[in-house]
Parts: sequence; C-alpha cells; structure tokens
Amino acid sequence: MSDQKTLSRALSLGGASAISTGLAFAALNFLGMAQMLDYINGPLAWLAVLAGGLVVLGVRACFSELDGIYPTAAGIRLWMARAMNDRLALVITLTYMTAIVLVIAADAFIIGEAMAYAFGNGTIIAVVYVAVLLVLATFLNLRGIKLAGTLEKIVTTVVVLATVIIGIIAIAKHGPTPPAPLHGGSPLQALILGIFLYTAFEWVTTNSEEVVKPKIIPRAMLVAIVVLAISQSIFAVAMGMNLGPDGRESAYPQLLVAEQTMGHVGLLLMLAVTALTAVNTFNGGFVTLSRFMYAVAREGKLPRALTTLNDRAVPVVPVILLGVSSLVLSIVVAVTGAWVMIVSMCAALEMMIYATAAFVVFRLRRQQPESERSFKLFGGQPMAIAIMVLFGLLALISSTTVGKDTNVIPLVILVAVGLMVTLYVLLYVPKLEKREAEELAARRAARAASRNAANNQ
Amino acid sequence: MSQEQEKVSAEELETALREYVDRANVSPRARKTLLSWTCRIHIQANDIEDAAFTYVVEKGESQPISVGLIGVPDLIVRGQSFDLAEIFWGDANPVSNYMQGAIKTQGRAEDVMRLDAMAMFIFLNQ
Repeated sequence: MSDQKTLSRALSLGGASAISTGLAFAALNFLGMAQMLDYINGPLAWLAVLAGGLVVLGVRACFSELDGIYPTAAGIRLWMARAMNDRLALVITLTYMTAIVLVIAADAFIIGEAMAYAFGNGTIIAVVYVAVLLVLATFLNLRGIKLAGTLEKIVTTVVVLATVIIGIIAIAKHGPTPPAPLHGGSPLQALILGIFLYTAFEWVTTNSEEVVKPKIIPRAMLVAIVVLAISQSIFAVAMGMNLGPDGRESAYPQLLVAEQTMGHVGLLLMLAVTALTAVNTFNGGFVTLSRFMYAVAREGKLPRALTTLNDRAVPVVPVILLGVSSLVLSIVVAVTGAWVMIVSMCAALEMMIYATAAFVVFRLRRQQPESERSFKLFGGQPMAIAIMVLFGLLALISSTTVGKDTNVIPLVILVAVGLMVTLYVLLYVPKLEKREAEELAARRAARAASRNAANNQ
Repeated sequence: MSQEQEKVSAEELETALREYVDRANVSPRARKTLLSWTCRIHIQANDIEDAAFTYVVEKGESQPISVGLIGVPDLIVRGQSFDLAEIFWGDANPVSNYMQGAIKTQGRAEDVMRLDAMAMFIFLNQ
C-alpha cells in the first residue's frame, strides 16, 4: 500500500530494528536462558540459541508475508479475521493478549526481586518495588508519556551492548565450569527455550503503517533476530560457564553472573540493564494492549467503558486494568515463586500464535492467491503447514512442562482462559454487536433522511 | 463498511469533510483533549476521480479543508469514497472500518487513534 514515498515521521530501518529487538529482549529472557541451561551444557548454550533463531526465521517469513498483504497495526486481528471465522479469530486474539499481561507482570517481578537482592532487602520490600514500578508505569501511560524514536534506539542499543560486554567479560574470567545437566539434557526443551528468547520480535508489525518502504519491516525483523542471536548466545554461554543450578534457579541469574565476574559494580550495571529491558517491555506492552482493547471496544466487541479516553487521549480503563492485573499477577508470582510457570505459559502462547500465523498464511494463499505479496514464505503452502505443525507441537510441550518437570498446570490455566474468552465471545459479543448494528442503522437512517430533505429543497 | 461498493461524489465527500471540521471546532472536548495534537492528514478516495483532500489539525484546532494533497503528511487515510464519507458523517466509526480493512492508513498509530478519538468526541459526545 506504500504509494506515498514520504511521511513526515517515517520509521527507518534502524528504528524498526530497535523496536523489534527491544520488544523481544525482556528481563524474562534471562530466566529463559537459565532454564535452557538445565537442558544443555553451558559452553554449548549458543547452539540452542542459534537453533532457536533458525526456526524463528520461518516465523519471521510468515509474519512478513502477512504484513505484506495487510500492513496495519490491526494486523493480527485483521489477518485472522480474513482467514477464519471472526469469532474464532477474536477468541485467539484475546487469549493471546494474556501473554502481554504475563510478560509485564514477570518483568516487574524480576526487577523487584533484582532490586531487593542488590540492596539487601527481603521479599516484602521486593513486592513494594514491584508495586511502585507498576504504579509508575501505569501513571506514565495515563499521562501519555511513552518512549519513542531516538530514545527507544538508545535504550535498546545500551541493553544489547551492555549484555554483550558483560557476557564477554564473564566468559573470559570464568572459574571452573559448572557440571553438565543430569541425564544428558534435552535438545527439544533447549530448542523451545531457545525460540522463547526471540518471542515478541514480531510485534514490530504493528508499526508497519509508519514505514514508507514495505521491505523495512521484514528486514527489521531479520536484523533483530541476528542481534538477539549474537547477544543472547554470548550471555547464555556466560551464564552456563559461571552459574551452577542454585544460581540459575534464582529470579535474577543475570545479576549473579555480573556480580561473580565484575563485583558490586557489575551487579549494579546489570541491574540497570534489567531495568532498561523493562522500560522497553512496559512501553511496548502497555501501549499495544491498551490500544488494542480500545480498538476492539470501538469495534463493538468489548464493553464500551473501555473506550473512555482521558484528557490526553489515552484509554483510561484498559491502562488501569492492565496495571492492576499485572500487579496482582506479579504479587502472586512473588508469593508462590511460580515464575518458571510464567515462562512456560508465555512460551506456549507465543508458539500458539506462531502456529496460527502459519495457518493464516496457508489459508490466505488459498483464499487470496491473487493478492499482492511484497514478501513470500519460501516453500509456499507445504512450508506453512510444516511451520504450523511444528509450533503446534512446541506449544503443547511448552504448556505441559514447568522447569524440568512434566506439569499440566500451564495448559489447564491457558485452557481455562481460552474457555472464559470463548464464553464471552459466544454469549456476550452478539449482544454488543446487536446494539452496535442498531445504532449504526439509526444513524444511517437519520443521515439518509437529512440528505433526502436537502435534495428536495 | 460498504457492502455494495456504493459511491459518493468528490463534492459530497468534500462537504462531509467540511461539516466534520465545523463540528470538530465546536466540540469543547475534542479541542481540549487534542490540544497538543498537530497533524497533516491526506485523505484519498480510491474509487472516484479528484477526491483527494488535505486536512490539517493544529494544536487541536481543525483548519479549513484544502482540495488536493498539500505538503508532506503525517498521516494518510485511503479508502472507498462511501466508507470515508460514512466516517465523516459519523455513521461509521473509523476504528471499526480500520479493523475490518475497509480504510487503510499510513502514519503513526497514535495519530490514527487521535483521529478516531476526535470522531468519538464529535459524534458520541463522550
């Protein structure tokens, strides 16, 4: 659709790459790396990260093809609605949005725990830190303050460079390498966690209307995957060479790696890096989810209260709902220590959406073969099916594994969320749609009457 | 979203836009909330000839509509003439048309959101 070659504030390749990288590089990734090391020997951790990156290239191709057909911030909603029943599309989209709440809650929890560790506080103070962080994030969002443009690029660059530098120092100064995982590890689990380290890179497709060249978004996703592969490979190896099982089970393994090799300065530096990753997550997560809820409510498929705007044109109710639900969830995680389960649930939701994206590519290739595609998935429909099956299986495995154990609780929780969303979509949405349709008909009738009256005069 | 590709003329679309601008300027809520918003919007109907307009909002105040595409835009809105007219008449909401792919935009999502907010303030008296 990019007929227009100039926009006053067009997004560059660098800007789009920073957004894609920043969205994927969450504090939760460090816990993902730590879990991955339960399944693969530390010095070989880079293999799992790179393998994850290779598989994610297929996901990038799917999202690039879909973005090429419909380059819009409403992408995931629109793509699915075109490829399948609208109700099903709504159920999947709303269920998937749970992942954003989970990531925000997890990142807040990780920073709270990391700050408590760095400053020698206990769990209660950690919860206070979490609450302060989330209240601050909610307040800033309600004021319409968000990280954008150059500042976003700077934050992402600092996070990546600091992670790489600390990782290289930790590899260079490492002591005796901790023992390899028991029972020879598990390549499949290591691969799932390797893929997890890239998740959310595809959210940059919501910025596709801000570019003037359609190729920028696919290229930005590629740049992000390469940057994430290099930086996280280095840090995963550093973590594997410096931390034993006890350190990896903490909520702040990245701090322990930095502290072990660079002392208190390293600890504080890594704390700052962790906080910066959360800035990106909060910034992207709050804006994406609150605007999405607003848009779906305006569409007439969520309660109208969600469209209430404050004097800064910010949807108030979605932002507050997101802040409160993230706070409650992060306190539950802090009290139960169930952050490993958050990793499993986020991974499962992301794998589910990747499988869905591949299915949508397959369906749209059949339904709209003539549509212009600025990017095409190599291998066509068979490849789309293969990606769908692969990620469907990985979603199932992720949702039935917590840490090293088989555990169906994540699957049960996700199914429960999916069922609640399904009930809402089947029972309540038709009422909202009916009201919306009646109001639309009334407005059109009034307009037609006034046009007729004007024509008759 | 138009089902039968109904069309309106360029003149009708222009009138709809001019009425919209008038309504926007007398809506206290729109002017207050969008006080910090400045945006140059190009509006193009892709099913009729000579239906391209420039709509400028400057610090929340809507400037008179210009015919043709003038200057470098912050936001571009394209669609069928009837879908566009329905938005400016207040018969359809911009986000709904946008989510269904009936209108296409280029520019920052934040600007799309503010354009929708303006329509909501004008027609729903939020």
